[in-house]
Amino acid sequence: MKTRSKIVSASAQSIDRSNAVKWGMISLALSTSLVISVFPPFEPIDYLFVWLSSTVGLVPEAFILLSDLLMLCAGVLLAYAVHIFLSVTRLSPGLAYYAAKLGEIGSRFKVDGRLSLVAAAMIVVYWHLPLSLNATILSYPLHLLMNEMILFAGVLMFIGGRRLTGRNRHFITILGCKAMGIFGVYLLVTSGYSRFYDVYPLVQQAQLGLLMVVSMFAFEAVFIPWWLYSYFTKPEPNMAG
Amino acid sequence: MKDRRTAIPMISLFIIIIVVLIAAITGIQFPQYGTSISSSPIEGETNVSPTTCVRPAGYILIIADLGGFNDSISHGAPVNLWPIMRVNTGETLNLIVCNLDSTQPHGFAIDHYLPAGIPIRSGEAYKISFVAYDAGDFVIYCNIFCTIHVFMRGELIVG
Repeated sequence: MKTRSKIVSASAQSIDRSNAVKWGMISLALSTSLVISVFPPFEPIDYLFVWLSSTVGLVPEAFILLSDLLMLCAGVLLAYAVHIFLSVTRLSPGLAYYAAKLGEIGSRFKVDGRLSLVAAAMIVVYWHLPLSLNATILSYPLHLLMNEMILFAGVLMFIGGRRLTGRNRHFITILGCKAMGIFGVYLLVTSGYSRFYDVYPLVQQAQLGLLMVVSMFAFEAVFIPWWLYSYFTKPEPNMAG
Repeated sequence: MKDRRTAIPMISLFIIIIVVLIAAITGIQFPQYGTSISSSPIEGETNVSPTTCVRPAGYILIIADLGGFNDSISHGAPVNLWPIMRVNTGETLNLIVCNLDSTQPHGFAIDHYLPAGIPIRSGEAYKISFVAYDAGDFVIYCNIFCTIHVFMRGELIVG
C-alpha cells in the first residue's frame, strides 16, 4: 500500500513538474514573440500600426502606449518563465553556489520585493517624462533602450508581485490603471493650451488622453469585479507564492 | 520560511540574468549608434537647413508621410526599396525632404553619406546636398521612432 501511494505521489509530482514546464515554455514563447514584434529588424508590430492608423486613424502616441503595455507583459512573462525553470530545474553545484551567495547578499540587505514595484513604477514614469519621451522619439537607439527598460520594469513587477497577496496584486493593478487614467485626464484637460510632448501636434494630446481614460475604464471593468469577487469569496493567504 | 530562503537566491540570480540580458541587448544596439555618429558624411558637402516644401530646380523631392517615403508602402516596401535614386560617382546630389505627415516626426538617413540622419518634425522640410564620391548601393531609411518606420526604406545607387 505504501509503495502504491509513493508511486501515486511521484507520478503526481511528475505531472506537476511537466505542467509547470509546459506553462514556462508557453510564457517564454509568448514573451519572445512580444519582444520580436517590437524590436528590429522585423518589427512586425509596425504592420499593425499602419493598419490601425489607416483604418481607425489611431494617433502615433497610442502606439507608444500599446508597445509599452506589450513590453511590460513581455517582462512579466519572461520573469515567470525563468522563475518556473529555476524552480523545477536542479541547479549545477557551481550555479547553486553562486545562487546561495547572491541569496546571502539579498538577506544581508533585507531586499524587499515590494521595492521592485516602486523601481518598476519609477522606470515607467521616467521614460514618459516629456524630456525623455521627446528624446526617445527622435533617437531610435534611445527608443530601443526605453523598450528594454520597460521590459525590465515588467520583470521587476513580477518580482514585486510575488511578494504580494493575490488581492493586493489586483489592487496594485487597479492603482496602476488609475495612475494611467489620471495622466490621461491631465493630457485631456491641458490639450487646449499646453503641449506635453513637443514632438507631437497638440491636437493629438486630447486623443491620447481620451484613449488612456478609456483604457483605464476597460482594464478596471475587468479587475475591479475580479478584486471584489476574490475579496468576498476567498480567504486571504499570508503570503502569495 | 524555507520557501522564502530558497526564493531569495532564485530571485537574486534571476535579477542578475535579466540585467546581463538587458546589458547584452543594449550593447548590441549601441555600437550601431556609435558607428553612425562617428562616421558623419565623409566626403562632399552636406548642407542641412529648414526650408519650405517647394522643389527647387535640380533637386529631388522626397515626401515623408503615412505612405512612407514617396508612397513607399504602395511600392512594396520594405521588401522592395523605394524610392530608388541613381547618380554617377562624383555627382552632386540635391535632395529636399518634406514631412507632410501631420501626426508625427520622421527621420531621414542614408547609409555612409548621412548615417546620423535628420529628424524632421511635422510640416518641416530640409535641403540636403552632398557629393556622392563613393560608389555603391546605400539604404535610405527613417532613423527615428515612427509608426511606419519599417516601411520607410529607399535606396541610393552611386556608380
